[in-house]
Amino acid sequence: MIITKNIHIVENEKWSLSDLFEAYSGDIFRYSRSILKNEDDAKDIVQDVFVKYAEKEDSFNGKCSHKTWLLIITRNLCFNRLKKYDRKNERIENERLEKLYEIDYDSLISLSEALKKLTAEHNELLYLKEYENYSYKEISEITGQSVENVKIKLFRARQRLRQILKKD
Amino acid sequence: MEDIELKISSFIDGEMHPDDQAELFKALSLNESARNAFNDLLKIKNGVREHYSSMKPEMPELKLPQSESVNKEGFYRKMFYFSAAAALVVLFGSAFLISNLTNAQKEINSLKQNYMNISNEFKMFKKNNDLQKSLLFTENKTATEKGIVKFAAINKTEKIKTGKNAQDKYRDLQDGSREKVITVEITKKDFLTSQMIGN
Repeated sequence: MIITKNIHIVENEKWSLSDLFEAYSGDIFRYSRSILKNEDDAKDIVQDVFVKYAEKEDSFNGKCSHKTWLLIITRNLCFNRLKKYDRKNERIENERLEKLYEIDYDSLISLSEALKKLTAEHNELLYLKEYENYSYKEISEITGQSVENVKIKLFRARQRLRQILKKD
Repeated sequence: MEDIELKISSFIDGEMHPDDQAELFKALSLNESARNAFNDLLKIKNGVREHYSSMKPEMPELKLPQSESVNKEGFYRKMFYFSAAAALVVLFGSAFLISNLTNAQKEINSLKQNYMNISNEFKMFKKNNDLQKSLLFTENKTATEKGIVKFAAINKTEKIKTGKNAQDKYRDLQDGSREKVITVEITKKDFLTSQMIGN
């Protein structure tokens, strides 16, 4: 099933789970992938998000949009999954990749490869800003950070991405 | 330099106040490095957007485990049917028991009556010292192997004493007449019960 963004969701209406899945599963996948950097994990998260949503549907208070609510669930699930990973191994892997990258100056690194080198937090901020086009305030609601933090971290994410791409 | 890059970042995010934009453009016009940064950040912005836009994930169908509420609903529905079935069983069971008790009571009463009738008749013959007639009665209260107390009475009269366990037999007499032998079998339990309740 191909997910497209051409579905208009009217908020403040009662939407069935399948409607929400059809409308937002693609975005949730992209958001999860930006954090987890892994397609299979991102697909798992999409399923988990809707299971979680179905369980907690009653607690949706309508103060934010369905999409924001779903993205918040997505974020929590993604970072919980990251915590489960062996941090030591992840650090070693990052160091190894960094060294490999530094040695291999001739290889042309694509943007998608450069994004993989960013932290999960930087990736998610770039996704929320560039793809979702959320304002700093909306991003702060989803990530639970202050607006100023969002602004600075986005700047740092771009700066880091620029550095990685410039090495080519 | 970092300060101007931060301003560029805010500007391309659409979060810069219009009053500050003029100052940024002035700085850009004077600083080539800042202009390069501006171009790079714009490319990154568009590149990241393109990167995520190009993702057309083929999602598997949504597979939700039965939600808790559905499970609960199913559980409550099952419990309702089970309770209803149990209630019906109890209701019919009670009715059956009450009916049986009533029937059992009737049977006991009937047996008691039979026993009393025969016993009284036997006693009356004995009292009147009518040996001939009394001999026609035999009383046997010995418990049999099956726990049955037999009270057998033979009555020449044609008055028939009936009861559930009565078995009618006829015996030919010497004078050519025929007598009816009535044997009433009362179980030990029935017998004891009839005694316990005052007979």
